Amino acid sequence: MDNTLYLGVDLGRSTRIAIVDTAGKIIKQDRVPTELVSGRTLVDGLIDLIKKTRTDAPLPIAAVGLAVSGLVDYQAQQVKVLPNLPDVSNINVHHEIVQAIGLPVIIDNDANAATYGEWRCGAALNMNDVIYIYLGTGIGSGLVLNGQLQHGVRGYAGEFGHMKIGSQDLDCSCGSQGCLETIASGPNIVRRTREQLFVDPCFATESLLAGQMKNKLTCEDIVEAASKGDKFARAILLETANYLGLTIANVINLLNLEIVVLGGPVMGAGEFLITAIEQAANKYSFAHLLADCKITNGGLGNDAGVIGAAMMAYDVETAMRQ
Amino acid sequence: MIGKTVAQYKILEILGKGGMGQVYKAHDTQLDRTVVLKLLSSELLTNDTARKRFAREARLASVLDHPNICMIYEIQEKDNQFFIVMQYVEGQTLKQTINNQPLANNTLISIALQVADALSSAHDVGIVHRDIKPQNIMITPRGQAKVLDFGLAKNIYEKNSLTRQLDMMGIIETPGTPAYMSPEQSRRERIDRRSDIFSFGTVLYEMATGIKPFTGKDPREIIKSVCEQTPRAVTELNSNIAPGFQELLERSMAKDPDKRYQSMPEMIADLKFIGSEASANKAVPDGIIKPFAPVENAKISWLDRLLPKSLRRTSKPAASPVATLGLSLPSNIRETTVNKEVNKQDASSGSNKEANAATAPTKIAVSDLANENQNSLTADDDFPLIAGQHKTLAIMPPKKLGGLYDEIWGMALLETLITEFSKFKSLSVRPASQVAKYINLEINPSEIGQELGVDAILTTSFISVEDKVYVIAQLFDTHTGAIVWSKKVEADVSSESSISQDGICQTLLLQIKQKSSPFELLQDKNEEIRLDAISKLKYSADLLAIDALAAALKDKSPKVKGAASLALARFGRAASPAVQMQLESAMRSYDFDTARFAAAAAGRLTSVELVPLLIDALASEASLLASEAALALGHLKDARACPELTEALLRSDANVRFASAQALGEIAQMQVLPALEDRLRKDEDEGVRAKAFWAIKHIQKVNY
Repeated sequence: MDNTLYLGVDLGRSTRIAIVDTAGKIIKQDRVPTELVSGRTLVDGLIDLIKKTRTDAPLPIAAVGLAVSGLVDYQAQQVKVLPNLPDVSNINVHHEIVQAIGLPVIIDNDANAATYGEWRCGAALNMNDVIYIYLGTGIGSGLVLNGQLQHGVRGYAGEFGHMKIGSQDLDCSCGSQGCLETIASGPNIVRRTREQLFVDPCFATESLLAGQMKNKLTCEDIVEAASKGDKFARAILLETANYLGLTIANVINLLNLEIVVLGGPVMGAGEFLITAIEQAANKYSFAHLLADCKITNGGLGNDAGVIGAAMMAYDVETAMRQ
Repeated sequence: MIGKTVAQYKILEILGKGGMGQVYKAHDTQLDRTVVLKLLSSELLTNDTARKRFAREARLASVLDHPNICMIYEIQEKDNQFFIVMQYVEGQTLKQTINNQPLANNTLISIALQVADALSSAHDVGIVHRDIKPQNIMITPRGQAKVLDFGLAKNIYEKNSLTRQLDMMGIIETPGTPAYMSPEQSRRERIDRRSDIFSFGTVLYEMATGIKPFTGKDPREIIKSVCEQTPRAVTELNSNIAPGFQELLERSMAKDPDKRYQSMPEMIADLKFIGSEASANKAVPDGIIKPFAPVENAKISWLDRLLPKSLRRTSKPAASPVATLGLSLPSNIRETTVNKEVNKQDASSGSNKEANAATAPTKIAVSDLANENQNSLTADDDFPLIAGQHKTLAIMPPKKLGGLYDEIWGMALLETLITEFSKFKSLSVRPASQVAKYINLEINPSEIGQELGVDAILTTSFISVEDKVYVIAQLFDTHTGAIVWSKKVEADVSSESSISQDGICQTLLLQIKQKSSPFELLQDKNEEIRLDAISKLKYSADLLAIDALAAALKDKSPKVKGAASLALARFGRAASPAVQMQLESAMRSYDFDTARFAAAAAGRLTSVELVPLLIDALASEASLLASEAALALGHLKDARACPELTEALLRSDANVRFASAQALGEIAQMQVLPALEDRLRKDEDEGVRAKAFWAIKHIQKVNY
């Protein structure tokens, strides 16, 4: 129905909300800080935000898609784990939103939502076997196989950031060790850069980053320095690319994928990073499998999550109507 | 007890009796070897403190794994006996060896170096012997010295030291032997390794003269003499004593610990210089074979080593490393001897001139080659730089440091060098095919030496600047890791279309006859060459390398300072005492980079003595200095720094917060967890949050 719209909500450290049409085009969007005080305040704030945005919509909203950066039991539509908010699992988030707004609501993990967005409207449009990898504060992914988003038995599938890279057994927030995330997530890229300041005597005098490191340093700063040719920032990102390429190669070898889509703030480092990831994947992949597979940046950028959540809502609502 | 068996040990004879029990010679019936049993006396078997002390003696000595320290095999309680089993050392005590007569210089130096090395090893792990005397040093028939009796030893790092309790309780009745005790030990003041240095000095004095330096009718009089009197100069009592020995004794027996050698490695360096007078690998008059070669090159006289090369046998001016770098020789020796000789030879040749000459490279010129022909080496010559009749050498692929000339030019140089060096009779040179794999790799000479089975490694590096190319060559002894020779050669290429590798090679061969120091390269004006020199010194086993690297912390280039700091790390805790004063001075420097990299080195060398200075540096407003100080405190795992580091977690400087989180993680005290958790939740910098997460996990792992 072209005269209806959908709401996509992407809940992370900040909350993005967008009104999206059936073609996946954003009509209007907003971004507010996430209330990370308690599960209760989070859900109440979320409901208020959805209600307010709904009133601003130029056409009726038919359904809401919610993407959260945590573990979601897709089958039961329950948010199981949100970082820093352990009490959220005591709240039936899905039920409370449905009761409050009277519309169909679909909840999924944010990486799944972004995968859905890229698959339905972005870089993986019209492809059947896809992995989308999000590289930010955490590392998540979503898998589309045979034209179906894969959730696994409970909906937890796609924890790409917790695949083991083996060479460095650092403790991970998941409770395990040696996860990709301990090297390649945004905070860990910043950590490694900061460590390098004290390892390499030339860093302080030669890196574009040295001056600002007394203050806040972000992954985006490192990416920007790398794109300006800073050899220290590039070295950090190239090492990151090597681990990413290795992990991607494992997935390609296992699933014979058509496309690997990379998104998130880390991927802002330009062509050199995607080239480095390709080279590493090339080194570790089974050549015949890599030949079928394209490795590329996402087409929707930071909007993949909200668009994907809205498109999930659209597809679920359409299926319900039929 | 004689004839009885305790566990598997059959008691053979009594060797002595002490305050805590008896010492027996025994036979280990299981391993069929002679051992020494030290039995705790039966009256003390139920005395918990005495048992602790007894066990502690075994524990302290057993952590020391050194060829010149008597080995502890085990401690056992069986058959109603509590006993320590230790190595039986055949031979005589040093007291018996001295026998009231001065020892020959070679013997003296050999024994001195062995005992010094043993003490250095004990000091490295914080153990002070406290009872060094000739009776506690055994000399085997082969001339090996063994330090005995760690019964009074003290671990200066132990908190609530048991030794202190034992001292206070009177369990250690006589802490030391008056004639050999330091003044501070005599006065029962706090002591550290410098007290052993004093005692060792008194032992050396007795070895050099046959008499004790401090005497008296009773202990009180002896102690008065130790604290107040200056012993007669050894030169008055022994006219054959090696030059420099009197100055060494004066420094080691200074009444004020601050005026003594501050560490054994410092004293060892001087002993080695003094010992260079004695001929190596030769039986000495009193029949003791020297098992510990005191110097890498005994052919250079002690005096020569102190002099600029210009004042030795050749007329070419070049400063010695000692004169140029101010290495740790007794200062009075260095100044008086050098100045005297300078005045004699040439009043106009000041030290600056010499230092400049030292760093001036050898230039290739046809006239030089012609003039030096009479000095050049020929195919019939022995290769003079490595000892032994048949020697093996591997020449590494030249390393490009910068400039226009590429690795292909370097490989051509390699081929030329291999061809020319192969001409030495007695020298077997590995072919290029065996060494090509090392191109562009960091060279660890000892490792590569082992891999290729060679006695020596020649490394070369080259850099071209405008119309000149410089080649730096260094020769390593792979067995000792020492740099035995190095040279920088300059070729002027302004008038040539290509540089002759032959010319460079010939000049290097000419220079082989004239030894020069690897440390001179640290004075080179070219930063790349100084960095290259540091990368080589890192793998040198020479104690002087440690000194030179510490001096390089004050280099004008931050890159060189940083590289020196990293290179020092390779020497570990063993190097710490040798460079402590230099690190202290560098940390107090107004140049923040110098202070920063000195702080980093202090952490890497685990220089615990510098903790108070590091805590001061942590408060600095200079971001990198404060951060390195934090990291160093973390490496040192010193819990005293926790309050300051916790406070630093709240500094506005993210570098300092990051480093402090790292340090607190390494120190791993549970009470800092709330502060780290606060950072994990609230810090605006994601790198600091990630480090706080690591620190929390690490602390939990260590403590649970």
